[in-house]
Amino acid sequence: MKKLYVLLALGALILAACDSGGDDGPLVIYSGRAEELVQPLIDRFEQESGIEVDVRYAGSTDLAATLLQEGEATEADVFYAQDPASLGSVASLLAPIDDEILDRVEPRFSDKDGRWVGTSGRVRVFVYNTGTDLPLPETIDDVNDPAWAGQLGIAPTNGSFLAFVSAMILERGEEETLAWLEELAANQPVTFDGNAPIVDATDAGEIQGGLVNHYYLLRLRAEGGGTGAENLFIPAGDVGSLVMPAGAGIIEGTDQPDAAAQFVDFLLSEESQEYFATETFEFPVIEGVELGQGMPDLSEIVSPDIDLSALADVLEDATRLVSEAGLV
Amino acid sequence: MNKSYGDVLALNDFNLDVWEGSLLTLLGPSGCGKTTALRVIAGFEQAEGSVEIRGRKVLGPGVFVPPEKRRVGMVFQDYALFPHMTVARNIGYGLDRDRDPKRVDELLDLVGLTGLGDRMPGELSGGQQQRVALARAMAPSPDVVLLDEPFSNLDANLRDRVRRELKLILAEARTTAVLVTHDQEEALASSDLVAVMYQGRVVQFDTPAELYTRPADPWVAAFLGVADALNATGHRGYADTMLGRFKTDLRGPVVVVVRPEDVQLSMGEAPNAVVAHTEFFGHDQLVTVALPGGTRVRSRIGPRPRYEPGDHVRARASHARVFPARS
Amino acid sequence: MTAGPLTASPQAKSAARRSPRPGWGWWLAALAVLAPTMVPPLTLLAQVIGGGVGSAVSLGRLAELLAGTVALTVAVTATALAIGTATAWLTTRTDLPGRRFWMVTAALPLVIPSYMAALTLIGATGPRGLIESWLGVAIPTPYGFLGAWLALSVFLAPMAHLILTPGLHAIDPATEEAGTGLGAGRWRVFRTITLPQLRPALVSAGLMVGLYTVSDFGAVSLLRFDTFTRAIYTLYAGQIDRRPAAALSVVLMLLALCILVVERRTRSRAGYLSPPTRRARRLEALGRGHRVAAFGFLGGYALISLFLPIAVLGYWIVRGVGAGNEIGPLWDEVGRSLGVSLTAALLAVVAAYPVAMVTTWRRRRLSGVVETSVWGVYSLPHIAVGVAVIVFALRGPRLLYQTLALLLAVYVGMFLAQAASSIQDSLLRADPDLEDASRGLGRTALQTLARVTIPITTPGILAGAALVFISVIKELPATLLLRPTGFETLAIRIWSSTGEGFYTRASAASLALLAVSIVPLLVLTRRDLAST
Repeated sequence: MKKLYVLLALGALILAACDSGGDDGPLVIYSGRAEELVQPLIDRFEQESGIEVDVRYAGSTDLAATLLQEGEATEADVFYAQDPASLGSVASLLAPIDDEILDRVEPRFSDKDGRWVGTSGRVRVFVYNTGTDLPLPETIDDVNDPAWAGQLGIAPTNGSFLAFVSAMILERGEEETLAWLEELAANQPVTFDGNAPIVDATDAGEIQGGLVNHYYLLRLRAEGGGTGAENLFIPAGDVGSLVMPAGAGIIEGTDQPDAAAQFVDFLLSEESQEYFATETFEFPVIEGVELGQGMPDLSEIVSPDIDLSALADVLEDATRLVSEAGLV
Repeated sequence: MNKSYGDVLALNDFNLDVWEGSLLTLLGPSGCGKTTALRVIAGFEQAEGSVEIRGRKVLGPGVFVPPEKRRVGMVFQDYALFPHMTVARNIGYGLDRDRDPKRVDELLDLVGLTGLGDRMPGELSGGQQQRVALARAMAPSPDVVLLDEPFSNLDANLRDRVRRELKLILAEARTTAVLVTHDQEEALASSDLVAVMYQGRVVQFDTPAELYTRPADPWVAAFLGVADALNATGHRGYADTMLGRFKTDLRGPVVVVVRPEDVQLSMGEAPNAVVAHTEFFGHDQLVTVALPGGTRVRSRIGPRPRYEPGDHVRARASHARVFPARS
Repeated sequence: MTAGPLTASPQAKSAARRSPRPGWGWWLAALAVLAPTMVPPLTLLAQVIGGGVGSAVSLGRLAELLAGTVALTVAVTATALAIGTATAWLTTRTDLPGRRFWMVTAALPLVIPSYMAALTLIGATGPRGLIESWLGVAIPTPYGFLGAWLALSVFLAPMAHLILTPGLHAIDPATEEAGTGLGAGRWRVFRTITLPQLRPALVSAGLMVGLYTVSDFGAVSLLRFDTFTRAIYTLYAGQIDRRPAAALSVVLMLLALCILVVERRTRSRAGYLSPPTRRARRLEALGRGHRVAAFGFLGGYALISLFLPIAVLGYWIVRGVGAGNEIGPLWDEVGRSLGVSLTAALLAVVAAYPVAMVTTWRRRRLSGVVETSVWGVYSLPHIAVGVAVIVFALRGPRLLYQTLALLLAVYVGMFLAQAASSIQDSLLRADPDLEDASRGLGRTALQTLARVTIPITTPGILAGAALVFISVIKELPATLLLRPTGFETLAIRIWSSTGEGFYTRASAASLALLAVSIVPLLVLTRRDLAST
């Protein structure tokens, strides 16, 4: 029995040691971006600013829903999401960002109303196996070429895919988007939970191609793989090569507005932007930062002109259409 | 046969013949190898030596008939009834499917459990379980039925009754049976023949009456009932003791073994002992007396007269067995 | 009165034990433990009834999910039971050399969570997988049903093994000998005597494996087989509207309860005879051919279930480090996992003790209800519990929302049945009269509890704590939804790293998880080893 009590004490002790919370409460960030990508940056922020940070990692959409559910009672101070749609859907909970910060970023990467600011750019691409003899798409409609039946990977529940569908709704309207999704479904795509496994599977030749974000392949290469696949920026300039920012917003009514602003500012610092470019292979949103290995110049990519702030308004519709088309 | 576990010899030159239709009991203290002998006969253990059942060799050099082919019925100490089967299915387990369906009912009748075939074993009393185990063992009409301490789980009152019934049932079915027990009374009361075992050996093999009255050595005498020993010397065909003179051909130091019921006490004439202790049982009493020199001897006599500690009495034995003293 | 020998009829032995003490204290404590565990199912029901289902999932989709979930559950349960029966029988009932070693190796994969199993499968197969790098031939990765079936069967078999081993021990070997003596061959004895007596153990092993499969989330997600759990998570994480996820959770909950009901119905009516007196167990002598086959089977199983996962993880670490990836410090995660699992395990045995007590020594008419509800809560899929508790915490006690206390409470509730059944086992083996003996010697109720009751049930307490520890440290879906901000455990680390393709870190975290789980697993196997 004594052993049991000792163990109980030990368990409580370990928990106490792990609980880093102070009385003032640390800066709480809800991050829809993966810990693997963001944590090193946050560590640096903590070091430089002396501000203590707690991060809740989950999917961007998941966190947006959580924020809506929590409402004013949320403990979050900053929402850092990987897609504009998630940010947009909680825009009513966000405080306006300082113009001084907004001005540093190209306007096409941020919210029109200044509720959130873009922090790094990502581009939708078509990843394909280099050994494939299937016709590579020139427009997003070519993706539904029957030749690609059963060979295409998609992640229909992933935030980026949903943002892409939302953009298509804005560009083409609901009806045409549904038609496109139904065509996609008829071609029996292989569905995945995320982008990384699509790139893995394409690289391995299990599927011939997939709709993903551009940086997954570059990261796989940094891990020592990725030799069997290549990114294709769909040349037609349609939503197939949509440029989407990841971005951050500050929760209205936060008890730490200064620390929150400091964090957003930090994300836009040269240091952070360089980190995005070289470590996560995303496009910097400020001028004068060198690109990572294998990244094309953003200006070379033809991309559609989409009102990012409007994406959130059609996100629900996008989700509905995806499930109506039978993709989930 | 011989059987050993590592260094421990379980059976040592164990050798017995059983007559068909009789009930043989292996009797001995725990650990004497009697259960091992039974399990070798059944085929659950391997051993050196040979076993023949009804003239059929089932164990011998190069011969090992597996237990399921030996036609041996076994009744286990805990009965080992199949807890997931009804009584009828337990009994019918060893029967061929196309056998006469009435056979199970016959057996239920035989063991006095008519109408209980649909019960589960857990719903029966200990005595009933025991009879199911017996019926199950006898169902395939085995050449021999082996019973391993069959009464040890029954309480004393039930034990006597079940023992009598078992004997009747076996006799009625004319089944040869080998029973293992450590209980002397049980062995004497139920068997045609008893083999007394000690340390893997058969020390004596005889009818119950012979065993009791003519034990082969003092150990058997003490194991089968109550006995007291006196030291004496064999001389010219006799051994003289405080309790009287007994015939013997032995010479030199001997041990004289007397049973309490052979020791009589009387008051008055030339006392040679002092009463040390009495136990009164109603139908008789057991009186312990001390002989000069301190040797104590017990006497089982009728309830009257009552003796008290300190009484001076004359003790005499009407019958005794004389054995050579152990060197 | 009849003539003849007079006999005193034996005193009728009273069949029923004296009626147990009422044990109000125990009952109060048990009900206090049980009441909060009813929160998740009730919350979900209230949510669905009150809030609707949102953009409802189509019936066709529902049927598809149902078919997939049921097919997977049936297939995995059958396979895991077959493997578990074989390993348990070979290691307890035969004279196979090294039985004790095999007994432990067959139980060890229990510490491998299903998502790690899936990860192993993905890493071993496919082009550039481990098997190709060794043999030069690539086996295509079995995504979908096949993969989920393989991964879950192989890694749930130890659960069956651990339940069946004591089950085999409980069978009186004399019943098998009796069968042999009555002319039945080895196979008939196994089929008609061993197997039916093993049935209660098989049924509870089947229940455990079946429930685990129904609520498994990690393996089906990584191997991309559509079941309820995967659908719930994608709905939960991928939609702003959370009502459809809650609605699907209710369906999944009902499915799990169905399994529980089937199990209750399947229990055999065979009463059990008094346990056999302990005696030397005869071991089945395996012939040379059978021995080789047994070694092949156990060795092959160990190769797939133990060696392969560790090899894949090692391979990824070596490959990743070679490519310059950092493993990163995992001490915080190890500490959190260890702390939360230890605390939950000990809280669970404390909470389970009154529950075990009122279903054994303090049994009353209500005990059946208690047992059913404990198992009912256990059968709730974790993802459904997670969804429900979030809804509850946001509506009700906000203070608890995203706290460690809530997470611990959820763990205790979810795994209460594991702890309770272990303690029940110990209580059933002990004699309640011991309590009276102690009270009779002048000890108070509390002294009796501390000095008699708890010490004699220590084996059950330890086994229960070990079981809960392993379950908590592996737990993913509820942790994913309910952990406090910043509380990243090893399981979470493995999950998030895998999702983003950081296999090096995922592998390192996996190895750490295995290392930490070994000790409680050895506690579990010690009991079986002792009775070998």
